[in-house]
Amino acid sequence: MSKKPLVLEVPFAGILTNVATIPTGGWRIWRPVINYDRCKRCWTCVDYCPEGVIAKADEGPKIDYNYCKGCGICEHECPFKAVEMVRELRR
Amino acid sequence: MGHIEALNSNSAVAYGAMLSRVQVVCAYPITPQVTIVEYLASFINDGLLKAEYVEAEGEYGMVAATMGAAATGARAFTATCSQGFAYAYESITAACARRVPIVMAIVNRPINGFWPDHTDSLSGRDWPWLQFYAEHAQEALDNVIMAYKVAEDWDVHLPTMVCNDGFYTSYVMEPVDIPEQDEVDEFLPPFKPRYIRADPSTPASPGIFASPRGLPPSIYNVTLGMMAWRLGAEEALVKAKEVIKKVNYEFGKKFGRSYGNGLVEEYMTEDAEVAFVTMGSMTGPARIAVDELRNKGKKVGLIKLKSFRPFPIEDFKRLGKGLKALVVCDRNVVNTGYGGVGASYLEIKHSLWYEKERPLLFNFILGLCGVEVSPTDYIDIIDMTSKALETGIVDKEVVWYPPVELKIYDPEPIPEEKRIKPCWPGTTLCQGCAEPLIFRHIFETLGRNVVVVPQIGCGAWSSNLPGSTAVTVPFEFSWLPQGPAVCSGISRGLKALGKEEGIHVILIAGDGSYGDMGFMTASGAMERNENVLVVCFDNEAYMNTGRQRSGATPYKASTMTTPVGTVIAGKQRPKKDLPKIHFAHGIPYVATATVAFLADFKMKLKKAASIRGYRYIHVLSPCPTGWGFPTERSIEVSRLSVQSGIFPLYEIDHGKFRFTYKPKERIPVKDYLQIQSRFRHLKDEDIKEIQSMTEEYWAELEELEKTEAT
Repeated sequence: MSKKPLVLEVPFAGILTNVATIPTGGWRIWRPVINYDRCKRCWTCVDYCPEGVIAKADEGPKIDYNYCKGCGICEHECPFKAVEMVRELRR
Repeated sequence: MGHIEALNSNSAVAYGAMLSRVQVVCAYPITPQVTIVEYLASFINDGLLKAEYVEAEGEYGMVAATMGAAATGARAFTATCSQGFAYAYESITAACARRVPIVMAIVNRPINGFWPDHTDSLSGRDWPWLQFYAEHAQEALDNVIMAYKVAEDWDVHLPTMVCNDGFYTSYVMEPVDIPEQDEVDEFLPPFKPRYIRADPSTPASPGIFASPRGLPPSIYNVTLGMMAWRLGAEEALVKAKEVIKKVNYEFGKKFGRSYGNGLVEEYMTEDAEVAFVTMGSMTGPARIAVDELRNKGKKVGLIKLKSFRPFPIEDFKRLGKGLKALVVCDRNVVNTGYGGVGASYLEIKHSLWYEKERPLLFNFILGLCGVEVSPTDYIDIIDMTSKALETGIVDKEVVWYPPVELKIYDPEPIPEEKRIKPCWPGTTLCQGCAEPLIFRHIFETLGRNVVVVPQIGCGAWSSNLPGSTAVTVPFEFSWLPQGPAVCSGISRGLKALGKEEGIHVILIAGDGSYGDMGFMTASGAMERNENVLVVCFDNEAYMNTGRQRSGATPYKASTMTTPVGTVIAGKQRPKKDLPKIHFAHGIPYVATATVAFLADFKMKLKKAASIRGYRYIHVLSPCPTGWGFPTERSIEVSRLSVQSGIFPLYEIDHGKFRFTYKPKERIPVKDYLQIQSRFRHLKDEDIKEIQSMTEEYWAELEELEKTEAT
C-alpha cells in the first residue's frame, strides 16, 4: 500500500461560500447591440433581462457581454426597436 | 433470431420490459432512470405495448402502485434510483412483505450524490428483494426478462431489482441483440400469481400479522407469525439461487447467451492466483486489466458478482479454495465507524470465515460517487496488494481508492462585496429561461434578509456550480418533497431563537416537486399555517429531468412521458389547479403571477411579505426548452397566456378573490398554443376543446369574484 495519497481539502458538510459563476457569454450566437439613438431609456430590457446583465447607465442600458447568454428577449421586448441582434463573429 | 440495434442500457431495459409484456408501468422521473419510462411511454402511445401507464406523483406512490397492480395479478414494472429509491423505501419494504414479484429497474446513482455507484440499491440489501447487476446494455435487457421468470417462480415470488450503472451504461450506446417477441413469449409465460388478493373472486387481506395455524391467535403467536414472513422470504431467497441458475441456463439455450451460472460470472479464474470481484459496469475495465496483467505473466482472474441478492455464498466458498487472494472492488460503501467497508466484501468475508483454506482478502472502495474506474486503476490496485501477497500480512484491509488524505476546513462566510447581489449572473439555466428573472425580482423586492429554500430542480441546481455558488443569500437545498417541511422547521427554529422578526422564509419550488411530490408536506404546512412564503415556479412539467409530465402539465401537451404517438397524443388530463387547492386550505394569501406582468408580480410579493402565515404565489415560468419556442419569446408567451385567459392573474387575500388584471377582450387560445411545439400536434377540435375549457374556467373564477370573503 505504497501509493501516495491525494490531499483533498473540502469544506465541512460540503458548505459552499465561494461565490463564482461561469462566463456564459460564450453561449451566445446572437449579440444584442443597443442603438442609443433609438433608445428612450424606458428600461424595459433591464426589467426583462432574465440574467440581469443589463445595467442602467447614464447613456442608456449597458449589457455585460461576459454573461449575456444572447436569448434575445431584450430585442423582442424593446418597444422602440432599439436593440439589434448581430451574429457573433467566429473567433 | 433477434435483431441488433444500438441501444443504451435504459432503452435496453425498456425493450426488456416491453418484450416481457408488462401490463402496468409505474413511472416517476429521476436522472438517470428517466429515459426508461420515457421509452415505455412512447411504446405505449405508439400502440407497440398494451399496458397501463401510471404517472405517479412520487416514488413512494410509484412503487406502491406497482405493488397494487401486481396484487391483481398483472405483470408490473417500475424503475427508479438514488433519491427516488430512498423516498420509496417504505413501499420497497412493503413490496417484499407482500411477496409481489414486481421488477424494478435501478439505474444506480448514490443517494445524496450524483454520478454512479451502487449505494442506492444496496441500501435496500437487508430486505428480501432479488438484486441483479448488469455489466452492459445487453445484459440489462436480458436481466429484465430473466428477472420476471425468476421472480414469478412460485418458490421465489419476490420482487426483483435489475440494476444498471447510471450514466456509464444508462447513456452509452452499444449494439444490443433484441430478441423476437415470439421467442420471449416461449421463454416467459404469462404471470400466474401464487395467490391473487386484489380480486373480488378471491378475497383476502395481505398481512404480516398472520398467526400460525393451530396456535391460538394471541399477540405472542402473531409475533411468531411476523417472524415467519421474514424467515419465509429468506427461504425463498435461498431457493431463488437454483431458480436463477435454471433460468440462466434456459435463457442460454433459447437465446444463445447466458451469464456465468446466473449468480457469478468468471473470467480467467481457472488457474488464477488472485481474482478481482466486481459488480456492474466497472467489470469492463477489470476485464481489460486482467488481460494486461496476464500479458505480464500475472495469474489474475475476475469474478463478476451478478446476483447480489441472493448472495452466492457457495460460489465464493468454491472459488476461494484455489485462490491466494481475493481483491473485492466495491462501488459502494457502508459507513461503519471502523473505516468503512464495501457491502459485497462483508458478504464475501462472511462466506469464507469457516473455510479451512481461505484466500487473503482485500477490499477496495472505488468508483464511489462516479469516480472513474479505468483498467490502470485495477493494475495499480494489484501493485498495491503485491507486498501483502508476498508476506501474507495484510496491513490495511479496506482501502478507499484512490487513496486520499482528507482535510476538512470551516468555510469563511460569503464576503460583503459579493453580497451586493443576491444572485450573480452566469448560472447554467437555459437561454431565455424565466426562472432567473423571477429569482431576481423576488430578491429585489424582498431584500437580502431572507432564508431561501430551493426545492431541487433547475433553479436550485443551476446556481450551484462545481465548487461554487451563484447565490449569496442562505440557500438551503431541500430534496423534492421536503421543501415546505424544511421551511416549517426553519421558520420555527428562527422563532424559537427569537430571530424571526423581519426574516422572510421563502420556498422556491417547481410545479412538479412542490405540487405533486411535495404536496403532502405542503398541505401539512398550510394546515398549520406556517410562516412561509412559497413561490412556485410553474413551468408545467418536470423540466430538470428533461420535461416529463407533472400534475401541472396542461391538457394535451406533449411531454417525454406523454409523447405524441399514433394511438395516444399528449397528456390526457387537465392541469392541476394548484392555487385553488391552496385556497381550499384557507391560507391567508394565494396569488398567481407571471413574468410578463412584473409590476403585478412585485405588488403580490410585497403584499405577501406583509402578511404572516402561509402565503402562496404561483408564477407561470415559460420554458423555451421544454415548451418549444424561440428563447426571445419567453415574455411574449407569458403575456399571451394571460391575454388568452389560459393563465388568469388574481389574488385571494384572506378569502377575498380579486382579478389583478383582466384582459379587455380575451384573445383566442390558439394564439398562445400555436407558438409552442408541445402543442404542435393539436387538431382544430382539440383547440376548440381547450378554448371552451378556458371559458368554463373563467366563468368559475368570475363566480368566485362575486362571492364575499368568508
